Amino acid sequence: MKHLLSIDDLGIKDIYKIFEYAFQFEEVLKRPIPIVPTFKGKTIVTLFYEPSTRTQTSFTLAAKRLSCDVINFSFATSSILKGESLLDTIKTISAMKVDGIIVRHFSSGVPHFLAKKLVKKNIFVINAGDGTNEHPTQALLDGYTVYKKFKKIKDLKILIVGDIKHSRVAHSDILLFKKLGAKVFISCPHQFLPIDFENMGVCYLKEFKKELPNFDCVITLRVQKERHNLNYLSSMREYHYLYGISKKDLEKMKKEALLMHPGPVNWGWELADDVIDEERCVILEQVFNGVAVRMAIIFLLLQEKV
Amino acid sequence: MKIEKIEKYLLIKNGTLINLPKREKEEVDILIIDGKIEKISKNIPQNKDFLTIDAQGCYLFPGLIDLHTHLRTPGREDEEDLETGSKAAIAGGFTKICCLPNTDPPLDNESLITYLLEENRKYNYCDIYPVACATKKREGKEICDYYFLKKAGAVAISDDGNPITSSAVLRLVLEYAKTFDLLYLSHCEDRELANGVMNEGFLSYKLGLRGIPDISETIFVFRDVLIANYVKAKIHLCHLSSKKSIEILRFLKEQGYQFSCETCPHYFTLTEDNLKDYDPNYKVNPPLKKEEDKEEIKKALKEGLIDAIATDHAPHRTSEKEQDLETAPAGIIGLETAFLLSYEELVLKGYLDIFSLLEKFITNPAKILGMEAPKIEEKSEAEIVIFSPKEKFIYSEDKIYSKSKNSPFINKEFSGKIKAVIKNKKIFLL
Repeated sequence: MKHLLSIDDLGIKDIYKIFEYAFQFEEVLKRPIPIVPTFKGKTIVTLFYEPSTRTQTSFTLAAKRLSCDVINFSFATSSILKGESLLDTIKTISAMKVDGIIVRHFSSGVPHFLAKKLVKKNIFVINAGDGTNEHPTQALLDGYTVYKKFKKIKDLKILIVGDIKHSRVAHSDILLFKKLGAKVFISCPHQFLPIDFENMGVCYLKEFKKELPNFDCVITLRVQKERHNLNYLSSMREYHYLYGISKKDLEKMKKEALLMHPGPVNWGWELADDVIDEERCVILEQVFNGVAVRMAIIFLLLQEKV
Repeated sequence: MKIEKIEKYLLIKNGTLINLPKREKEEVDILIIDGKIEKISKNIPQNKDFLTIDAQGCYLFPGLIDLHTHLRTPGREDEEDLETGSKAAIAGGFTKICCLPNTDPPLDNESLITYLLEENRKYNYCDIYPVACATKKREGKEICDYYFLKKAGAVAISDDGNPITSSAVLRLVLEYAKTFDLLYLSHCEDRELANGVMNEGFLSYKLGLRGIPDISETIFVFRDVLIANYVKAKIHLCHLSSKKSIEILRFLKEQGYQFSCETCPHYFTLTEDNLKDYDPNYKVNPPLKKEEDKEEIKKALKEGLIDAIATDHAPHRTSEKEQDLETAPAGIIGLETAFLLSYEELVLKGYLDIFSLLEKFITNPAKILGMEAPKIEEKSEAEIVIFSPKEKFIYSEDKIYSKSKNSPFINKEFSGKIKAVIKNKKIFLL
């Protein structure tokens, strides 16, 4: 593994290896001084062209826990605002002899573009979310959260609800869970369903509420209003009624089932306020696992480089 | 109109039952008890306790279904209300009517759908099937709560009166409608092109009236069918009027595109020539076209390309309608004349037989709405039209049941008369 651009680049073994390492790093994170000294002196840059709190913080923390130096570039404070081109920014950063770049961009394919431009530079690229394409580390932490709970992923029933078409989380989640042998179901209004979704190898449910007792994990997606140039939904009331999860819905789920969300939640839309304190709702666990999973990814990429 | 409750027994003697599935005519008597058809057979003996109707020489068929009625309720009850509108429907042989949502306020939330259905129970003459707005306030911008609208009783969605100008919004409407298997009724009109009063041509120039090019309909017919088929949603095209639209649809059908469509009686009985005297009762939208369009519409009805005939019943108060053509609103009432006009123009002139005509008024509209086709059979609720094809009927103004009188067919003598309608345990004698 040279970069992490897409779930498609990972073999099943790679994924389980990441899980294994994440499990060990979780132990590290629980120590009084949660740091491993392995990569002292290595430098990681986070290059975020889109606002983010949890992903950028999670990566920063993960790199720091591995003793890396971390430099955060964000849209608001960098020379991007002065009109520097993407290519110039990469050239500048790579001239500074860094070891890895973690990139989020509003355009799909930017991490791939970077990786191509850095091919001779021995700098790895991690995709921290590109446009409506992929968010592989989110999928890995989602997979890890499910794996930790069930000790397996094969044959589990995973339901993903929401804006399948525009969600990079859904895209990566579907690739990952299918790769690991889970049965993936999706549910959404038709405007959120990709054209030719039949080729995705998932099962579309027109209505899912009656089938809630069957799923091991329900992943609700964020209604991404910031991505829509049209008002895609009629109302919060109708969306929540059909596609949102409330405590009443949660109670229909299996006792051991998980309710997940990549955050940040639009309360009242995807989730009702009353699910937040429920045991099955593991949103904060996902956040915690995210750090361990990202440590594992950075660790493996740096190790590959050495 | 004499309305009698069917207390106990009603016997229809010597009628000619039009059996639509079998395409057969049968001479029968029909005995109705408590609103239900008890028996259909020859020579059911009379009894002095029976209310007996002599239907000698009359056709008996199920109530007609109108896919396109403007009931003006709520908001413009000065033009039509549920009582007058449904009486007009019954007088025209319709027992089920779809009411379009361009009311004030428009039918864009489920409380209005519920209101209409509740309000109609007060009269209970005919059934109404509300069509809800496709977009909020019919502005063509934001979609409505289709799930809740359907749950409240909406049978379809439409912004009728307005086209959805943005193709992106139309796609969204169709995709969201598909989620709930809702039918979209399309008002095909390119508004920017259709800025006028009548059909564009030499006549519009001669009359000095602003012209509407016929392609303003056709362009949106093509666009809407393409978008609906792209997202695999159900689409029905309303009130088609032009030859070009028919030609495009014929092509699309050959290519395997899915859609259904309707026309209205005025498009195969009238032409733009009727506007020569500037009579606002010939101002409709889409506008009346030429002779060749009229002939093409009849041809398309005959070949089955046009599935249904709808009224586009559009009541307007006299003081508003009787004005100069620029100012007068478009639209004419049609519930009471639609079937008679169609019978005369299509059956008597040999374009369709009575079975095919009734398919356009009953079987196909039912299919388009996803309903079971109404039938006259034993054990079912009696919903029967008694139509005399022999009698003459003069549609004089005092015979109009609609609250509005904006019809170009006033004082026309029709060959054929609707004698009575049986619906909801009542018999309406006309």
